[in-house]
Amino acid sequence: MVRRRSPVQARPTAFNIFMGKLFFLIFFTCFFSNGFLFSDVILSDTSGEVKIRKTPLGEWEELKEKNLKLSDGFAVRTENGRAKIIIDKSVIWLKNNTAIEVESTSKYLNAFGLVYGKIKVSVKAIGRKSRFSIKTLTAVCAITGADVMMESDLDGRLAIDVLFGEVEFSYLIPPKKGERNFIIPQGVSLKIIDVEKPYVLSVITQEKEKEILSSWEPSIVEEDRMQNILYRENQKISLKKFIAYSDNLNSEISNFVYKEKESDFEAARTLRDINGNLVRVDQRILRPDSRTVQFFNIIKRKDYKPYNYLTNFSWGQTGFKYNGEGYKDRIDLFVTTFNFNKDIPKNVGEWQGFFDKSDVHPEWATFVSANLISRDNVFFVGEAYKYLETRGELINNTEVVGVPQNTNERDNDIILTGKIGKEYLNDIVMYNFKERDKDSPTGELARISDNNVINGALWGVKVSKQEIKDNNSFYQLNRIKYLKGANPSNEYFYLCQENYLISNDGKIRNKDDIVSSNKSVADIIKENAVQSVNYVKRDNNGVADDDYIGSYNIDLVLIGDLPFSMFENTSRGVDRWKD
Amino acid sequence: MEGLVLVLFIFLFGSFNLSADLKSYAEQSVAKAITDPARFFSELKMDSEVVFPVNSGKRYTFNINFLPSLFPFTYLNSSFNYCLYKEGRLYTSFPQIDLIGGAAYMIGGDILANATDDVNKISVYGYHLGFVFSDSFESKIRIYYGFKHSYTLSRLKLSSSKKHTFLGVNITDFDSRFSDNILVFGVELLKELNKYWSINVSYGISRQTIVYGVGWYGKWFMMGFNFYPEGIIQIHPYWGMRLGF
Repeated sequence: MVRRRSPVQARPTAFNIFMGKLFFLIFFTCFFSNGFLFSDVILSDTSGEVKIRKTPLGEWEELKEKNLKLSDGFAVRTENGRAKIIIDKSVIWLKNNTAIEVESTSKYLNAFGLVYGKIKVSVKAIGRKSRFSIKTLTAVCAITGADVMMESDLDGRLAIDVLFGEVEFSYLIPPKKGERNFIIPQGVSLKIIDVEKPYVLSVITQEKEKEILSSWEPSIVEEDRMQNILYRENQKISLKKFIAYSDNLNSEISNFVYKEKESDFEAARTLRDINGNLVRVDQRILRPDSRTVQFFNIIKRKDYKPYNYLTNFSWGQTGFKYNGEGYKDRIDLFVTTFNFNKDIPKNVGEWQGFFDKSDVHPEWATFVSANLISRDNVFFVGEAYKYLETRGELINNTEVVGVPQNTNERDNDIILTGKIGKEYLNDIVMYNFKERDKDSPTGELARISDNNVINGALWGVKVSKQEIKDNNSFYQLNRIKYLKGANPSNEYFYLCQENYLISNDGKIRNKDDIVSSNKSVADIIKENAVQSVNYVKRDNNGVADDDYIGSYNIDLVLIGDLPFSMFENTSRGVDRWKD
Repeated sequence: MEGLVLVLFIFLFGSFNLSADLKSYAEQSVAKAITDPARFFSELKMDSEVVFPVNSGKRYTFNINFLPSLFPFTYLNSSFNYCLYKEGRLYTSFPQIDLIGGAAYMIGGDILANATDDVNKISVYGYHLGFVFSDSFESKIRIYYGFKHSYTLSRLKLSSSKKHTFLGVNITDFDSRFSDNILVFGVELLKELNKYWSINVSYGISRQTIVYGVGWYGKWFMMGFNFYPEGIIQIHPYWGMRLGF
């Protein structure tokens, strides 16, 4: 059955026919116009004898015009001359005795045939789906973003030198051995000396590089051809200098870091404490003599606000009431001192090995904190340790002050405290003290060096300890009871400590702030500090709010920067002595 | 082969500061590693973060660091450098663009955990991502520069049989992270066919650290040294596979 059209459908109007033809005309004009589909291939410059052939079967004729546009089938031959062909942004330069054919000028395929001779090809900015290829008797070379020199002859011998970019090489006749298609990367030369033999790849030689880099412009005079190379040589010298500099950089950095490590043993940080006071903490290491090393933590506050109880945690807890006042330009101090039986190496890098030697041990160590508000009334709290050969460890019992051990108080820790003149502080720090009367201990201290009493200094032995803590917030309140002079006829007193882990803005840290922070240990150290406030209180059938020694506290802010660095260097040795 | 023997020799004996006491240096390094494990593991992982540009004629490279990442530190690692754009392909003055990325996971964490009474389990893993531009200075010399983000996470689960407290708070686990945004600048030289030599300097923006690297790589393998002047172990010789396709 034949389906009939409606009268309207059956006969297109003249207007419709016209519009249809116009549309196709515009479309084909645009689509097949040279500018849209074909590259402009121009023989732009020549010198010497250059001939052209307009069709594959045509005759060679003299070049008569400049900027001759070449189309498919054209050929150019240089005899005793040079030529330059521009294909959009790419260029082919021909040396003398070279013949090249134009096979395709399509935008999608710029194809040329190198019959014989030597050319330089610079392929630039071709489209993603476009291809630029040079065919010789032996192979087809697809060139992308490259500067390449090619030389070929009628026997099939071929040389390709890739200065920049890469060349996709395909044999026209597959070789007996080896790959048929492969890529010649930048900086590599390919040579086929005999078509029967495999190709040879090598790194491009300096001579070839110079030849490619030299100017191939036909009209340039011979003397100017190497100008470009001179410019590049200068650039090369600059790069060589950079490489030489980089080579030396490591040793430079090593030296720098070594010096830095020496001075790493100084650190400082400014932060806020729990009370909102601005605190400057300076840390440094000193070596008063060849066997002694001291770690100073100096805490400076421009303004120190008064308070009754430091935090909500200590509020209502006896022993933590501050009976003092506000101060200007307050300085607190924490000093750790180690004295060894041998000279400490000058190079910090050797400390780890030194401390780990079995015959090296500290003779004594002190940990002293002090409030330096008043020159004549330095309130201090300290611990001292002495090395016992028989036990091979540091001990902190009554023998530290020269009092033999009491069987009831064996190995109980002792504390040093008091309110002393500033001139005596160094005696405490440098372990120049002992019990004034070791046969009948009074709890008072005298200097070892001259037996002079250190006025205001006392010691006591630990009796008991009470700890108040939380399992989420980093705070700890300690009430530690001591007996003065380890003599039951003396009085008791308490060391009360408030310890907090705080951020640099004075906030108390929670467990998650540290263990789930996803930060490195070094970052955690830098972003946190420990505030430790110490009071020495009276005993009144338990700890009293009244102070045993003056109306003072010692308000330390300890940063981990320097201890962290020290721990990295000395941890193993310290562990050994602790054991 | 001689190169590999050299790297092994240097790794075993040469990664210490010869002018100082070797034992002391090693002990110090161990102490530092214990003190800040994330940083230590991060430095080891960075050896597997290959920043060399994809070779001319190749589309991508696949890299595995055998020494020291895989052996002896049991880091399963691989990285991938993909050439997104070849130099001069579309625009004459536009450099080659490579995307780089990789991951590493330490399978020996449990071995480490068993070596100490304090830790029950250690998990260490990380990744890196970035890009590298490379410009031909000469046919055999390329300058490359780029950026990478490096991330390492170490999770420590502390032994429940031991009590770990700090200011009264009981600590059962500890996570620490090490990440940095790193700028890379280097030079690559084609020495022989398929044999490249390269030096580079990396600068960690976040941590303000410098790493200096020198490497040789060919058709199959890469080797070289990374210098971490402020690192836990300052010289890391490395050897690994680098395949180009």
